[in-house]
Amino acid sequence: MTTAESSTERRRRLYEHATRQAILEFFVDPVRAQRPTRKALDWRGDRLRGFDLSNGHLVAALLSDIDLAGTRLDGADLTDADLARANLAGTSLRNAKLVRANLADADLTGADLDGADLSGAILDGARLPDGIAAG
Amino acid sequence: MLEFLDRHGLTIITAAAAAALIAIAILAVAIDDPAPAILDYVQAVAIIVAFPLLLWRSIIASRQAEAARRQARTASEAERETRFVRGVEMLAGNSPAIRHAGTQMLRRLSREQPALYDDVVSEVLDLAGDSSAVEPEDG
Repeated sequence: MTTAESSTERRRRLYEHATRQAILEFFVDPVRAQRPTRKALDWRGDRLRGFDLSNGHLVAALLSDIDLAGTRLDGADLTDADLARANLAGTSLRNAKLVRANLADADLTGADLDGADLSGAILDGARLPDGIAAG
Repeated sequence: MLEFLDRHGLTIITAAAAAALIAIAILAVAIDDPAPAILDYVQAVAIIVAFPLLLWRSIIASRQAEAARRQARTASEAERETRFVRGVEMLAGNSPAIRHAGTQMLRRLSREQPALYDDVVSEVLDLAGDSSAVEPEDG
């Protein structure tokens, strides 16, 4: 591949990523979440690596088997979310709300859980970051 | 009553004014010293003519304002519909940059008019999202 082609391809990928990012932002927008007709997110099994969903509203979202490796979820509200078997390796979850979230068998290795609220979260079989123990 | 005034206001006013002029002419001929009586009569006629004139004008102004509002609303709705269609077309475009612009256009539209566009934009972006699952390049 020539340098020009490589540059074009890179630009195309960046635009595609920005488009997907914009779409995801739309769906996790906390203002939209106030709408009574809004349906719970269903991203089961989706691959959403490397996106920024910080401060997103993901309450009661169906996210089992999702691949969120390397995603930023700082300050996100994941209360009652189903993250069973989710790949959250290397995810930034600083100050995220994971109250009553189902993290059974989820992979949280290398995740940053600084300030995250895990009260009532189901952590059965979850692989937690070093230094954090379930229970 | 209002509709009648709206339709025939100008005719009534013209007729009233003509009747007043005829009455003044008759009085001027019939009375020896017509000046004070005519003045009183003219004042009375002026009030009688002015009232329906004002009423008529206010009705016309109100209707014109309502028509202008309706026109502006229609233009605004048409402009939003155009933006929506354009946004969807852009989202289905070949260029990634145009698809991105289409996404942003639809998001903005949804923010501006959530009651009208949130659901439909949500459906459109949901479908678009499924077909654009791209990861950023490493590094």
